[in-house]
Amino acid sequence: MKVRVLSRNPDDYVRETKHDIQRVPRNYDPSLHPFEVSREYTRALNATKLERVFAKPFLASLDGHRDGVNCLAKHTRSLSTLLSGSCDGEVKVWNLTKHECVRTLQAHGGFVRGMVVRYCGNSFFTIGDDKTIKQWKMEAPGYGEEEEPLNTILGKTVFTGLDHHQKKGVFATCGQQVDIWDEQRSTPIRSFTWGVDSFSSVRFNPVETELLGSCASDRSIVLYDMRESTPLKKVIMTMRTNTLCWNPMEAYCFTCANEDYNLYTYDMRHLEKPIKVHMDHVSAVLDVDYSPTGQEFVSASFDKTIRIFSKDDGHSREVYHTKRMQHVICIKWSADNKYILSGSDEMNIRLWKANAAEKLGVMAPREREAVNYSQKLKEKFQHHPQIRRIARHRHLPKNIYHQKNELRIMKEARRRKEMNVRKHSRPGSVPVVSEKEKHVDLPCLLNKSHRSQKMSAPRGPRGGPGPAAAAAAAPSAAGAMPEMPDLSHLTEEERKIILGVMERQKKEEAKEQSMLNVGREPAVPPPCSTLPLYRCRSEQFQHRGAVRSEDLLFKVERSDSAINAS
Amino acid sequence: MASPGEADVTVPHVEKKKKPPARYWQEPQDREIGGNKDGGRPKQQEKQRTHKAKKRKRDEQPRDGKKVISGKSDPFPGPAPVPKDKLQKFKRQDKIQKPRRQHYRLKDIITRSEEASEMAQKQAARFDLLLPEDAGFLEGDEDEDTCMISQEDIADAVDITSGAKYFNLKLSQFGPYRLDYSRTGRHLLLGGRRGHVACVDWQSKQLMCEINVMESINDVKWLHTEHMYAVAQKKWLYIYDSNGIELHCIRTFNDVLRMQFLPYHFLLATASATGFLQYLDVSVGKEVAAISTKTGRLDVMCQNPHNAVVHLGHPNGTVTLWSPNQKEALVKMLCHQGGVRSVAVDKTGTYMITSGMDKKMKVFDVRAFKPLRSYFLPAGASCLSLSQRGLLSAATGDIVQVYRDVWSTPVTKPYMAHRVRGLIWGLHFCPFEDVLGVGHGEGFTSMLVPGAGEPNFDGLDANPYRSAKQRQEWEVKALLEKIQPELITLDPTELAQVDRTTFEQRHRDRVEAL
Repeated sequence: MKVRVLSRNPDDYVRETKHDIQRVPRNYDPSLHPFEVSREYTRALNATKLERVFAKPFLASLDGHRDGVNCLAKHTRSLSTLLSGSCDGEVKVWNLTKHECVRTLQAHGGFVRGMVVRYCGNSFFTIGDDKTIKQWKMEAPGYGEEEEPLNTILGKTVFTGLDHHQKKGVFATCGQQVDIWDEQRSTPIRSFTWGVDSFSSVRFNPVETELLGSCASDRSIVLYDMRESTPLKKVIMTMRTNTLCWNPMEAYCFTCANEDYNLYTYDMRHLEKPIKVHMDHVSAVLDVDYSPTGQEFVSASFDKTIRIFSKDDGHSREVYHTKRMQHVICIKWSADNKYILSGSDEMNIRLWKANAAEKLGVMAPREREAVNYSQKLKEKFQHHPQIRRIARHRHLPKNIYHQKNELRIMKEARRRKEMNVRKHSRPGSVPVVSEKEKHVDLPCLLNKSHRSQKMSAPRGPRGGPGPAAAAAAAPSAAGAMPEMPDLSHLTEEERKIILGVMERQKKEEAKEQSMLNVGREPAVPPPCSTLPLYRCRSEQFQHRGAVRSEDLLFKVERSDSAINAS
Repeated sequence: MASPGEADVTVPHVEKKKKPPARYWQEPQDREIGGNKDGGRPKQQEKQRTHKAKKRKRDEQPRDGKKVISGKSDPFPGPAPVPKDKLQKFKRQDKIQKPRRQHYRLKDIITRSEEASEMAQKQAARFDLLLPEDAGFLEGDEDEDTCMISQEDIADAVDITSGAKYFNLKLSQFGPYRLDYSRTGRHLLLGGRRGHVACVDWQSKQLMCEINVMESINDVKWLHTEHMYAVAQKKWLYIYDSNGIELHCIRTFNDVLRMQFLPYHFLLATASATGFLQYLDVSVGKEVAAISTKTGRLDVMCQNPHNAVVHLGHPNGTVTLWSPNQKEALVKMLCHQGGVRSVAVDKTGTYMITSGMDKKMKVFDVRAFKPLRSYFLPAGASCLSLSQRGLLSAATGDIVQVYRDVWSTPVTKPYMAHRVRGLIWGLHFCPFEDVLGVGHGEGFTSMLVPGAGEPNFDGLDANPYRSAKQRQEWEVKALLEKIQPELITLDPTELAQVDRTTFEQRHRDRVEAL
């Protein structure tokens, strides 16, 4: 008889002394671990709930400005340094770890419109309403020394935006036109115009460093190559774009913050339509900044909230708001991908966590492992309704919540109406326009010179023609409809479509102009330097809103008349 | 245990060698060495692989021929191969069919997740080779039946600690006894028909508590820890702690005959004489479901440890499957011509074994609901119990018979047999031990059944050697991941699958509506 019975030596399974850690023998046999899926699901549910419990994104508020914060700049070399410029021309340098202001300087009379740190981190540039560009040293002046700029350039017109080249001593400003400046000279080395009167922001591409993007007030986004004398191409949208930001990882993509509450991510090679429309804000989006990973970006809006979007997601994954935060003017994502900085109208800069539930500070390896495990579980079960419901839930301020619902209802009504129109008209006469195409007015305009160079290149049916050389030469004619494209090479149908679109635009512009004139008569706001920026912006807003409601009125009237006629 | 697995590897990995990459400065030498060394070896054919596959396999690819400082080349280059059957053990799912065209992102995600799961499988299989304990066994000499070997002989042949696991408790006053082992296998709960309840740390033979409830007892069951147990008494269900203090008397549960505890759901399922199947959530003390089965007295019950479905046997020969989410039985199976006397389900949830009044013992595939085998036992089995490694014990009168491999091969004679004093009333294998507990009219017998228990336990799940602190921590974790009773279904992996039917139905409805 041969026999063997299980007989364990307890010494192999219990710790030797009480100073040791307990022994945990493992056996990964699946039959010893039943209900694998259900238990993982329960863990994922718990992890999701805990994430919502621990979601406390607000870290600190940096106060000290005496007017609304108009611009922020990240230091290129130091993670803990932040620069901010306010509406009264003051620039403050902050130490983020200590949450304190380390330096204050009166840079400009009037607004500080833009600010950028030089790539070396030793100096920074500011522009202001006083038509000057100033270069400042990063170090504070010694005791008894005056706060003096290194260099001051007096421009001809007001500058509205500023950005610095990634590697060279070259920077770009925008205002009436886009100027490229050499740091050594007091006049721009190059100026770009394309038939518009003013630009709101300009940004260098972080990878293809000679490329620039800018947003113009004629609702267009224009791309430039610094090495060429003329702009590359542009796209005209239905409403104005406030700022744009390039994706630092996929540098052919950029995201622009639009007045129509949406953000649009474009591929610069295909400007016909955006690759993604990001919705969720309920008011104009004022600023946008990418995370250094290029996977997400954060947007600041006039609706007093900050939202974080994934780059290929149509809706935001996170919304930050506080009771006291007013219209958020500027936003930055810190270079270590952990924090978000927002500057708002009520004179504060706020520091947020980029991941609301993330634990800050050093983590023990086991803790890190547990966090990773629960992250993976959440990812695995993210589509289960219960988990999705909990993970998606965000508390919103009442007015934003209602406004969101209202917008949704409006959108739904519009969609329904369109469907009904389509149902009752000749098949094909009311084409389906995708959401992406809806917001683009003129798809992609190539510059004339480039077009002539690339005549042989194949062009899509929607690749519209460039403006005539005459229009480019006469930028002052902007306002009504400056470009009269040459349509000779197009087919009859295409020409008809384009002419139709342009005619519609012309009509709208004319109407808008008349509206503006009407609106201006009672009260023209004085160009006061102490006036905070948001009021200017909200003024534009009111115009927009007025146009909208007028538009509606007009339509109602029309329908009334139609009823009368019938 | 490790050796048979290694024999399965077809390609001996030692000889698999590749030439080192050619260097122009080494060329003459290499040729000489190559000529001397590789003369007898046939040239290996170079495999054409795509760049991607190469890149993926780079970590596993052994850098053979690379000489170490001592000048000798590694005789076992690269990671050791993993036996196929071990890999199979850890396989969860078949490979997903990738979408044919486009969907590049999806394809990428699928490839990555498959790679990760393969790596996890491989690691788990490697780890499996290192497990410290081996299972027990009993082999007779030539012409010796293992069923003829007496318990005394086995107890003499094995070491003292194991030998001490064969013992008898003579409790003739309050018998017959029902019994239950705790999930870790350390604690034993005995419930005598005439009101005697005792809990024992049976390995150290320490009595934890002993009470007489002064009522008849139908069944006893441990709850999630060895600190609480439920006793089904004459009228109501009671919960006591390990000091014998009555914690609860649950009057909504009356006339309970049999109980099952679902450890991952924290549910106590009870079957009553009035035909009610009730579920009690012991973590919050609420009744989850009360189902009227309308089939009369329920005194045959067992749970499927794989999916937490409760099996009930009925006097008309049917076995019904129940979940707390449904008022009707999930499945009704006609298993026997007479009444069903006992039911047992194995831990993988594949096989169900039933015994009936028709003196038959049948094996069913409970996934496909098909009969597999039928055995005739002259005396008929009154109690059935399955061990962790698949041994089946059947009580026929006062004899305990243990069978091996009842479902895979037709069995002619038992693996072991043992006669106890009185009529057998309860039968239970001890988890993680080679021990079978038998409760009978004259008390309790703990007998040795080599090869019954799982040799290697998982310390995070059920650890027989856990300390008080570890138990507390385990309890908190287990309560945190308590599975909701709504998730009890026939297929426990259903939750991870895509619900195509509902989607298709909804799609069809929408199409119709349009």
